[in-house]
Parts: sequence; structure tokens; C-alpha cells
Amino acid sequence: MKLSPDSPELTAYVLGELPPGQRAAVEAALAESPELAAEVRQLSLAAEMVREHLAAEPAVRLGTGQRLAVLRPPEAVPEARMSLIAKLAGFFVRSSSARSPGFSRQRVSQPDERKNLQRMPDAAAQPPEGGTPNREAPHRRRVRAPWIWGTATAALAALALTLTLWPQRRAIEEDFATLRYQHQRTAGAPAGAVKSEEPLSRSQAPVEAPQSPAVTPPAPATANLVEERLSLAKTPPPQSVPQLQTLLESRSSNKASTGTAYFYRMDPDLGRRYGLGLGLLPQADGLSAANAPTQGEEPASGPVTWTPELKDASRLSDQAVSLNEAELPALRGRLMLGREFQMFRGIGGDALAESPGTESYAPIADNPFKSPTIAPLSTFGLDVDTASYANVRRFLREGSLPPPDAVRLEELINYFRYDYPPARGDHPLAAAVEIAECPWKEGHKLVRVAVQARSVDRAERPRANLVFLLDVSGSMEPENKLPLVKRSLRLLLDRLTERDSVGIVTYAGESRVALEPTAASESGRRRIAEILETLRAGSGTAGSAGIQAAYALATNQFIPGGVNRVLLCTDGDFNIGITDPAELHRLIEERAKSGVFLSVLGYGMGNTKDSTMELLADRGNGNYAYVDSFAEARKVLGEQLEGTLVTVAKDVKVQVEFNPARVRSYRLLGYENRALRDRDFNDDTKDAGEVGAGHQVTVLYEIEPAVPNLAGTDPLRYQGQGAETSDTPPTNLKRGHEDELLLLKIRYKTPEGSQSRLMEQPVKEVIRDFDQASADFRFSAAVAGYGMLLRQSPHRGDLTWDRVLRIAEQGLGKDREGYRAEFVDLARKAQTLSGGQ
Amino acid sequence: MEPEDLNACGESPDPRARFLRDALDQYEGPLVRYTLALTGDLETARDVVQDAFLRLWEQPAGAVDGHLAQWLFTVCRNRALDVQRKARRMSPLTDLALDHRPAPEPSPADAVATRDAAHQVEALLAGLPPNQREVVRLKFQNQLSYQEIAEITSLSVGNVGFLLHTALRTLRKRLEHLERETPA
Repeated sequence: MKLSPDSPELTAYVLGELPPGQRAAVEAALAESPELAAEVRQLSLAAEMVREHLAAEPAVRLGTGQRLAVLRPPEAVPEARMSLIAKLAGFFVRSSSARSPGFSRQRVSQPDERKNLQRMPDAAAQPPEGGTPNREAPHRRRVRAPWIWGTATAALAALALTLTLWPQRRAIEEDFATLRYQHQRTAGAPAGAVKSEEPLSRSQAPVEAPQSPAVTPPAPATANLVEERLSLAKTPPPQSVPQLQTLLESRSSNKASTGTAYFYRMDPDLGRRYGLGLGLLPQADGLSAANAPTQGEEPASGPVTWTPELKDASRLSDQAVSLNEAELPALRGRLMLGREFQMFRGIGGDALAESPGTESYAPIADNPFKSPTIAPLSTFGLDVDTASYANVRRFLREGSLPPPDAVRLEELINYFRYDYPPARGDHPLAAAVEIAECPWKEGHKLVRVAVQARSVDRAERPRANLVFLLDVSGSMEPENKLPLVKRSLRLLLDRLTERDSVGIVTYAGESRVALEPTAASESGRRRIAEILETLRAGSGTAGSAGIQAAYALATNQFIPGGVNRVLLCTDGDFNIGITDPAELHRLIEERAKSGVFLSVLGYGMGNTKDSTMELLADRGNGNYAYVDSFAEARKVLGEQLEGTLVTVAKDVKVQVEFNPARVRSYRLLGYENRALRDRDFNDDTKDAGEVGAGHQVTVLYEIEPAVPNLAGTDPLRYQGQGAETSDTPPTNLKRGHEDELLLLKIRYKTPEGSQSRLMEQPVKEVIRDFDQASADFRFSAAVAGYGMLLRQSPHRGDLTWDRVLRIAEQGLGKDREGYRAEFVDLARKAQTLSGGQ
Repeated sequence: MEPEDLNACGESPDPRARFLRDALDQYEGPLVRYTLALTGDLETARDVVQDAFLRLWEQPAGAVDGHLAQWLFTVCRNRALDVQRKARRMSPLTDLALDHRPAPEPSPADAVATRDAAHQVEALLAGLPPNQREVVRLKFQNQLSYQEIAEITSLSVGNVGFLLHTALRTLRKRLEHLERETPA
């Protein structure tokens, strides 16, 4: 063997890696050459040193929670059988799995496929959060004879398809199993799509006055609920925006199911659902931004929604980029993306950002009208964030209209205090429903659900363990940022006592513990204030490391049964460190599970990453407020401090079932990015919003009644008394609830609990003029109207700024703090800015 | 919030559970340490390792017998690289991805000034290119064989040998250098 100092065999020899034959050869060579032998000795010494040094490096353990998660047996996965088949299928397939309609398992093959363990498409329903990862096929066995496996694949694919749809069918059936107003199936109903001829002829029956002439009855009223959903689920997923358009156009030509299409895509890596929805309002010539309905036009009555669920294991970034680019702006305003869209943005860049700065908002399309015969349930998570109101206020004060996507209706309405019946008795929440005529659409009704959380006295507030996590990066220098942060926090300090403790962590480029947790006694408060004073804006922003330090401090001081919270004060610019929102979110969720919540206070403008901050607070089981002034700081950290700090109910979800006998279609105002799948309502592993002490949440629905309100009109000439609509009423109604409008259900968990509790309340229909409704009701309608006008919502009916102002002024009520008067000012400003009408 | 007790699960009669527990006890530390060197961030490393163990649960019994360490390291490595890739939005996975990560250890220049041998070694390791560094860790810190390392990193055995030899030579040269400079 010819060896030189360069020969790798020398090291292999030193490390004992040579087979006996080669070993002998090397030893022979070494015996002959003293230089080589010396070299080998040196290598040996070096190896020893390295080994010693590396052995001394401490081996770090997993976090306690992580260890436990591993040691507990894995949760039973629902469609276990499916995953077994999937596993077998994957075992025989190298990269892209079989395509099966309605069940997409595309993968973009990686260049070095072998390096990645075979990732199984997530065939089953999404497993619970944070626990079960992808199923992996054993990685060692690589397949070499494609032709055999091709056949096997085809066979398995067919099997897989059957088995996929079976659980989907079951799931859909479960969704509708416990409806109050409808049976799941209609006797003698035709399965699948309905021919368009029949419904049209029915529409020629006598039409009542308030309805628009082009009535298309919801033909699926006679179809089988389950079949309809299932047939839609089989639709192959579109691969590009043009395909998406084609798909929707083809469906829109079927009068029976025009309306809105929602697609959901799952990314198993991130364990979350990605909602990609397209709002399509039926028009004569199909989908086109130019034909967007303007004020006056309205969606054809009886639009229908359907939700095929596409399970797609492809890489998020690839899909997101292909959808984000130039094509997307053409669909602007019509595209509704779930809350997780923010992750698309992080990856695809700010392709959709409106303003030149680095502002970013998740695009929202208004919830459309839905028919209870197809979508009997409206499900979403409650939320008490109010940031959008303050943000919009900021735009208006600066003299410009806000970008429509910055306007989140529910946050506008929830900004104000109302007189809601207090929470008494067992539940920490109380819900009341008020109904009246809709002020912006004749014939429609407005339903307001008022949720009031239990209050907590200042005195009975539990001990607080707070860690301020302060962004002191360079961008925080302006007066309305770090200086305002300091003033806000001093406000908060004044309301703390020696039972509470405060720590401060700053971050900018690197994180620093500026103050170890200190009890907020008199002297403590002085010290804390001193430290606050010394903080200066630096440069760079490394969000995540700072968060870890803050959580560590909070965890060390953990108060069982107390308020343990990190308050992040930032302008939202995370420049260095983990830029991937997904990683950040996982971090925060993990911490939230251990009981340390996160609230986010946004300061300043231009750098505001609104969507990021809202999501962070969401994941952290906290709330997100935008502090644009000292007055706002006083509100959030002063008056409503208990609400900000003390959670009385978490994972609060709302589900409303509408009675098709009374409701032709309904529309949820706002909460677009809080939507949940219907079955998530009963799924305790699915997160939703948190409600703090004393908080109030308002939910508005606009209803198109099935029975026209003919009170006060002349007797009809062509029909008898109590005429129904021209549509054939749904035939699968359950008896006994004819006078009810809807069933309201709320689920929540106590802050320490993991099992949800249910509140249920049927609501009877009420006839009431708008002017006869309570002042609060009318005022919240005005705020909703303000929001709809700012968003140029297609559903604003015949609303004008004048009308909004009039309604608001008449609904001012006592307005102790003056927020409502301020709202009227803002509305006037908005009117002027929009050209005033 | 339930305060979590480390021993909450107690002694499990289930052999799978015991297997997991043993694997955890034995490899938890080394894996986190190894993954930390890849990701640079402790929490990410922990998440990745937790993920790997959860996947271990999923393996049919006996599937990883005889190559548990290799399997675990491979899973951690791939996941860590995925995470890096996502963070960096790079689609092609190349080992160059590791290059961009700033070395956490002090620069070689600092090491020359210190007398402490440990610091010297650390600094010298930091001076190695990332792919060599990784292979050095796998070999010298985790005692894996050339074959195992080859499987984990998807390199050939010859490649692995070459990298280790180059690394060791570099280290040897520099250590010698230092030794000469340091007064005995």
C-alpha cells in the first residue's frame, strides 16, 4: 500500500475503522516509514484531545414538558386504519405518492430524496397539536424495481381512495349528526348534484315583494346534506390560480351551487390548517375582478357554500409561492385566507402589501351569505383583540383611509363598552341575544349575540408575575414607541402591589435581563421605574432569544393559580433570529401550555406587523392591543387591566345553528380569520380565543328571513295568509322548533382546565323595528356599518356615511369615557376622506 | 395548569414504553447537543429531538433494533436541516446551508491568546468547515462508526474518512503550532 501523510487510511487506522486486511498493510507501511509513524502518533494525540474536549461539552436535556410528551404513549390517531394503508402505500413509493382525486398527496421531490426520511402524506385527520408528527416509513429500505411497485402502487391507491373517502364521509356525517333543526338525510332526495332545470321552474312561482326577482332557490335543500358535501370533497384540488378560476366557473354555471368556495389545505409540518378560500359572487360572466359587484348589486339569493377539505402534504413554501405571485392581486379582495396565511406572507414576501412601508395585513374577504340547508352551522373562535380599531384610528387621524384589510369588523365593535347582563352562576360567561330589523338592508334582520365575562375586583385579582419583554431596537426610538412604552408601563406599575412581581427583559440584537423579577412594593416599584428609565433604543431586533429569556424569568417566578404573563411591547419588527413565524409560534404555544401566557402590545406605525403580532398573542393565549396614544395605554393597562391580565375563560368557541324554516341565508359580520371547522367546536384540542375578566364580546349576524315580514302590508292578492316563500321549504326539518331562529352554543374552558364546558340557548324569532332596539344594539350596528364602508364590503347594502353617523349619534347613550363621541368624530373624518356621502 | 412531575408516568410495564424511556435516557443529551450544533438555537434543537423521539414511538417494534443511534441521529439531522431550510427559504438542500450559520465558538484568534487547552481545541474546531465539524462531532463525541456516519449524513464511507482525516490533520497541525508558541 502506498501511503502518504495525506492518506485517509491513517486516520481510519487510528480510529480503528480499518478491516483486518487493510490494517495489517498499514502497520507494515508504518514499520517502514518513521515519518508516517510519527504522523500517526500525532493524529492519535489530536484525536484524544478532541475526544476529551467534546466529551466535556455538556449534554443538554429536553425541557420537562417535552420529556413528558415523549414518554406518554402516543394519542390514538382517529383514522388509524387509513394511516396503515398510507404507510404501506408509502413503503412502495419513492417520492410523489399516488394522486387520488379529492385527496391530494403531492410532494415536491427534494433533490436529495434519500437524505430525508420518507415523509408520509398526512392521510388521516389532523392529529392533535404538538404531539404526533408525520408517519415515517422505515427509511432504510429503498426500492429498486419501479415496475413492480408501480402496479402495487396503483392497487394500493385505489384501496387508499376508498378508505380515504370512508372516514371523510363519516366525518361529514358526524358534523351533521346532532343538528337541532334538520335531519341529516332527506327521504327520497336525489344524491349528488342537482339538475338546474327544476329549481328554475320553481322560481317562477309567485314571488313575494321584498325578495329580489332573480330568486334561485337553494336547490340542495332537497339534496342529501352528506352526499352534497362528499361530492364536493371529491373535486381534485386546483394546482394554480387559473385552474382555481376554471373550477369555480364550472361550478358557478351550476345554478344550484353558486356562491362561495372554500378550500382548506393542511400542512402537517406546522400542524395547522391553512384556509384558502375564494369568495365568488355569481355573476353572468364568471369570475372577474372587473365585475365585482358594486353597491346596489347583490349576490343571487340563496348562495351556497361548500367546504371540500383537501389534505395536502406538499411543502408549504412551494405552494404558497406559486399562489402568491402576480396572479394573486387579480383576486384581491375576493380572496379569503385563514389566519395562518401570515405564514404564507413570511415566506412568499410581502407580495400583497398595500403600503410602501413594511406594514402587513392578512387579506380578508367578507364572510358571504350562507344557506342553512347546506351550511347549517356557523363556527368560530371568540376573540377580544381590539387592535384594529386603534390602528384604523391611527390612519384616519393621519388623514388617510386605512387599507381594507386592516379593518377587522369584530375588533371595531368590541372596542366599546356596552351594558350587557353580567355573568352570574356557574359559568364565567353570560350570553344574551337581541334581534331587530337590519338598518342597511330592507327585509333583513340583525342578530346580536352579547357575551359578557365575569368581572374581577382589583382587590381579588390574583397575584401577578409579569415580565415585560421590551423591544429596544433602533426602530423603537420615536416618541410614540419606546417612550410611550415606558409611560404605559409606569401606569401599570401603579396598579401593582407587593404581592406582584415584575421583571424586565430587553432585546435588540441580543437579549438582556434588565431587571430580575422584583416585588412591586413601594421600593420595588421605584427600582422598576428607575430601570425603565435607563432603557434606550439600540439596533437590530432578535425577537426569539428575548422571548426565551422572558419566559424563563416568568417560569422561575411561577405563581400557581396566579397571573403569569409576558407582556411583549414592540413595533413588531423581528429582523434577526427566527424569522419563520411558524417556529416562533411553536415556541410560544409550548410556553403557553405551561401556563405562562403572552400578551402583545403594539406601538408605533410604519413597522407594524399587525398580523404577526395578532398571531403571537393568539398562540400565547393572550390578547393583542395596539397602543397608539397614552389614552389608549390608560385604557388597556389602566381601566381594563384586569381584562388584560386575568383570563376567565380560554379556548372560547361559538357555534350557531340556524333554522332553515326561518332563515333563508345568514352572514357573520367579521371573525373571518377566526373561522373554525364545524367539528372543531367539540374538539378540545383545537385552540380558540381567550376572554379576560370583565371583557365583552359582540357578534353580529345579518339574516335573510325565509318568511317575509308582511306585518302592516295589505293582504296579498294571490296567496292566502301566512304565505311561505316561493321556494320549496326544506323537507328535512325536525319538528317542534318552528318558532326558533337559531340555537346558540358556546364552549369554553376554565383557565386551568382542559375539558370544555357547554352553554346552549335556543333563540326565538322576534319582530322589532331597528329604532326600537337598545341604544347599544344600534350603536354596534353603526360601528359595523363604519367597518363595512371602510372595507367597501359587497354586503353594505344601501348604507351611507350619513346613515352611519345618524345611527351612531342616536346610540351614544351615557358614553362616560367619551369613546363613542370619539367614534362619531372618526366616522366624520372617514366620510370626508371618502369623498363624503 | 398542571405542574408536571418528571416521574408522573412511573414505571411502565409496557416494553415499548420502557424502550422509549431507555432510549431517551441514553440519547437525549447527546442528540440535543448534536442538533444544537446544527441549528445554533437551543429551543429549536430541543423541538427537533422531541420530534425524533415521538417518531420513534411510531416505528413498529424492532424496526430500529441494532441501529437506534444511527436512526435517531439521522432523524434529528434531517429535521434540523428542514428547519434551517424553512427558516432560510432555500429549496435545494445543500450542506452549504450549514455554512451560513455563524459559529457559536470564539474565533481562532481569541484562542491563541488563552492558555487553556480546552479553549484552544474549541477554537480550532470552530475553525473547521461545517461539514468537517459535523463529522468530527459524530465520530469523537458520539462514537459512531464510519458506516453509521455515512448513513446519517448520506455521504459515502470514503467521503467520511476523507473528511475526518483532513479535519484531524488540520487540528494536529494547529495544535502543534500552538504548542511551539506556548512556553513549556
